[in-house]
Amino acid sequence: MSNSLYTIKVNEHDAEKASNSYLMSMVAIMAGLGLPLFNLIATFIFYMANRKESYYVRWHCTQALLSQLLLVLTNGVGFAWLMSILFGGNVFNNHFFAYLAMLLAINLTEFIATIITAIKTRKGGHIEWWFLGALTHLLVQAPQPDQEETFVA
Amino acid sequence: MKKLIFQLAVMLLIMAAIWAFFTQIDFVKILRPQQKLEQGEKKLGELLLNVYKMQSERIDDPLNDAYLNSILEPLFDANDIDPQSISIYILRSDAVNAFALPGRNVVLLSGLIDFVDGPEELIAIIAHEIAHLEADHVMRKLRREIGITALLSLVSGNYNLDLMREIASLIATNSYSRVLENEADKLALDYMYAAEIDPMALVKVFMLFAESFGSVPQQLQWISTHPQSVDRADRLEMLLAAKPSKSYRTFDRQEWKQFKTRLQAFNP
Repeated sequence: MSNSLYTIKVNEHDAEKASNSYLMSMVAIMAGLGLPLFNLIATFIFYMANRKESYYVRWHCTQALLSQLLLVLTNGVGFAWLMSILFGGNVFNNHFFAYLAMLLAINLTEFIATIITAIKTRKGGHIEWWFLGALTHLLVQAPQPDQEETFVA
Repeated sequence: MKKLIFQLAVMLLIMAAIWAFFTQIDFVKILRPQQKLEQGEKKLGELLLNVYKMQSERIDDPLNDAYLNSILEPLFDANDIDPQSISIYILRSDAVNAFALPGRNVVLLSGLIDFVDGPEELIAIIAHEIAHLEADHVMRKLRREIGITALLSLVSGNYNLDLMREIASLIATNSYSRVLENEADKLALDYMYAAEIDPMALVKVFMLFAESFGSVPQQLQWISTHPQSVDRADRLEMLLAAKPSKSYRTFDRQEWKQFKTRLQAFNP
């Protein structure tokens, strides 16, 4: 995670929205929907609802959505692998269990990073995740210099 | 963009490194998933067998068991199948059927033994059911049709008799998918060929069932669980034609007749 790229003027409303985008996946877990797919759906709904908000909010909604997308993809591979064992001809082996252990590590890291980012953004801070931050910059259109929202390097 | 690709590459490398690190741990030895699965299957097999025994009397005759073991010995030996790992049960029933059960059990109904002409055909049917066991078709079918949660609750003792009856009926009367049946056919053919038991017996079984279907459809359950018999017989003939010809062992017809007579006369 990185937080040194921008100094962003963030108002209270934006900070709350950005923080909530990360909290959406937590809300889904707390609601008993532990499957990453529900977290993805929750963050996607939140992203859709806030895509007209400020750059700061859109940026963090996108990063939160991408983080859940990454989790769904990696967990999906594990799920497909398990299904191939249960319904196909594959067997349980050390590679499969190692992948599950790796998934646990990724999910735990993502969970902790989500909490830290939610707290930081709530205070108006900015955290860019490794790779996902760069990808978010590519996907979210930055505002023009003459627009109200400004970024100070 | 360069930064993005670099970070993606580093992230994938880290994930690969974590995965490689965890592969150093022998999870299979620690967790023993295969043994646990086998224990669960064995328990499920016992539960299902009890349901069948409630419906049909078991023909438990040491002489018949010895005869079955003797005709199946070449099949087991030639294909490295541990005969101790497979239990074969004969149940009295007019239905012409045989099926594999979880826990490496095979059930033969006496109607089927009456129906077939010789030991080679009986071996062919048993080889086909053993192929379903060896290829894990039975559990794959149950997982697909009953669900993993239901199976787990069954083996943990949380079951009722109606559900067990339903599963027992599913196994005895529902067919496997065409892909699994073809796989079992081919395996059975290979088993018989390796054991020098005429694989044409399997073709004959399918033809016999196809010809007889319609005359006694109520009792010919094996044909309903093994559809497209003529097509399968043709396919097996083609597979067999591709193999080098060899001479096959013969079985004593007198012993076969005695076996059938003992079955009919069995009175516990």
